[in-house]
Amino acid sequence: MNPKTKHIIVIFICSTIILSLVVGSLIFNVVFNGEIPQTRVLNDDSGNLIAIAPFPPSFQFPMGTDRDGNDMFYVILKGAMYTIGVSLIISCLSFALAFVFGIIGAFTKSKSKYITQTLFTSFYFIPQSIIAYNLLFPFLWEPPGGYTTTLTERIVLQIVVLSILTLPTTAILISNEAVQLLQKEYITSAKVLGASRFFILRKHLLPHLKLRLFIIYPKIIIQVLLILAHLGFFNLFLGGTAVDHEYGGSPAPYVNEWAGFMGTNYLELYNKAWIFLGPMFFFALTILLLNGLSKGIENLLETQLDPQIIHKKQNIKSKTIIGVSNIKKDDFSLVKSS
Amino acid sequence: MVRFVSKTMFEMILIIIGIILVSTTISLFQMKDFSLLTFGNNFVTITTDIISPQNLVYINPISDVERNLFPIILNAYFSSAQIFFLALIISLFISLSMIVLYFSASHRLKKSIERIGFIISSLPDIFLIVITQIFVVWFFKQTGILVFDFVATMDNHIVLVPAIILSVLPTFFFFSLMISILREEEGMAYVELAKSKGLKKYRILFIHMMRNILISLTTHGKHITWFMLSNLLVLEYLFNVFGVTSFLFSYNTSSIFTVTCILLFVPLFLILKTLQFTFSQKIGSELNL
Repeated sequence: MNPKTKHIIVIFICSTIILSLVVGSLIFNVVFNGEIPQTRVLNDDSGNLIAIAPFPPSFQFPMGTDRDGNDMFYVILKGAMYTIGVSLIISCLSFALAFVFGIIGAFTKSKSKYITQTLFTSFYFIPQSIIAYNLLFPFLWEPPGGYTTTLTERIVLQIVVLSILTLPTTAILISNEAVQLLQKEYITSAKVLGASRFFILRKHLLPHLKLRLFIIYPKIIIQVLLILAHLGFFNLFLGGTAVDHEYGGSPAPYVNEWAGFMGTNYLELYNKAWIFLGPMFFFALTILLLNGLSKGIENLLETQLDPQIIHKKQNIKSKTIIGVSNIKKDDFSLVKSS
Repeated sequence: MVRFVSKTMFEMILIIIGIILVSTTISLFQMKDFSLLTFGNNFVTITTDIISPQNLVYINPISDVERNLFPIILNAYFSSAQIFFLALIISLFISLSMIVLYFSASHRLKKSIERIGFIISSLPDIFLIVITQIFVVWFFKQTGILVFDFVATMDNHIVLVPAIILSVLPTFFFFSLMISILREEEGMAYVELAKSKGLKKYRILFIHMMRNILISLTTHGKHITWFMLSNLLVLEYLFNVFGVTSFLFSYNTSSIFTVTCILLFVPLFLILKTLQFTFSQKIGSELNL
């Protein structure tokens, strides 16, 4: 198969599965109002009680049910929209801002750029999820008297904080990519010919950078997804954690999304493992697909940008043919016969 | 040499200022007070606190006992450092032996090894932690041998298990990185020359290519520390290890957060810079780590 079509197929499969998860979840939430089928007890034909929730994965419940009898498949489907959707929004915001700052950074060569870049290097040495935890804890952890903010406000706050948090490392990454491209010879000759910075950006930098950005973007989504999951494990959920201050029950999420579900059900791993493993599996699958998407785009670009690669391979083949020497006698004909 | 050291010191001070700025922002969020005056005040407070760290106190979140921060944090710090560096050594060792296997494999086997390596390295850290736990429980149920205790209690502290789990992701990261570097190196002129001289395959790999591979590997040092630290955080939280990351949570003050971050950052940064210096001496070109 042509390597190009192979990469396109990989990209297509990865993006289709992710999109169908989000769209399926959207349809489930909007058209079916997100009502999860609930089965608390199972009766046999004569009406006798045979089992109570949670049910392990079976033909009837492909992914089992949780302790309240909610079908896990629908729980996961319902959560997909929030988890993937929010991380898409966050990564988009962060990416757009990082692009602007990164490009500005790439074109400036002053002392102040060096200082800001080094200052932001500190983000490499503090785990981002812990910064997110410490920033968001006062706002998302329910205070004893209940919240003074609404759910939407808290979600917006979380989106803004997380996108600013992932901004520095993304900006440094994009800036480094751009600097690498700006060192190419054709940029220098464009400068010599009197091109303005904006012209270089639009005509020479963007066409090449655009392709690199397609590889970076899925990685940013993964980074955001991981921060969300870590926050879930630290019991800080999207849109706030409901804390029972009177009776001391375990913290619960407001929004049914994957990270919150994984965080609250982590201890089920040792009892009813499927309750935890279902969402975990889908979470890991999403990240795997995003990585596959990024890799597929990278491979595609390599084959597109570098026709030499294909050329090289053919060259190697032809070399071996020459080595074996399949020159036949018929290839020659006498020019002059005596 | 002098110039390099002074530049490194300057960078280090800048990054420490960056860390202080981050924790000042965190303290603003904690007070829910976003004025420039509070920012300035907190910045000054944290800076004075880290200049005289022996006065800092740490309040145990469970028992509410107040203790001096300094002897305690060092215990936690060394156990975390053990886990971190053990994991790093394990992952380097395993990925190097994997690269040797890969090097001697047939073309078709290479493809499938690459694929498996890619899949494992793109799984999220928490998934790998969970999978390892399940595996150990399953192994215990089958054979009755408890390979290791998961949950650390006060008197037994575990190092080997977290280190092994922490090493999984870097191992495959190193591995896939090494493969791509190996590919680049294979096309280089010096390899072709060595081949044409009739040197053995493994001699070329170990003596000539390996050093270049390792040098290229260190250029990703910052990235590796970045994701390993974030893994360590989750690992210590889920395994209940008394490690340095437990001082990062917000029931502690911002000054403790700052001190912990600086403790994490300084040795790693110095190691990276030492590597950079030795390699730039060896190969004569500047690396930026």
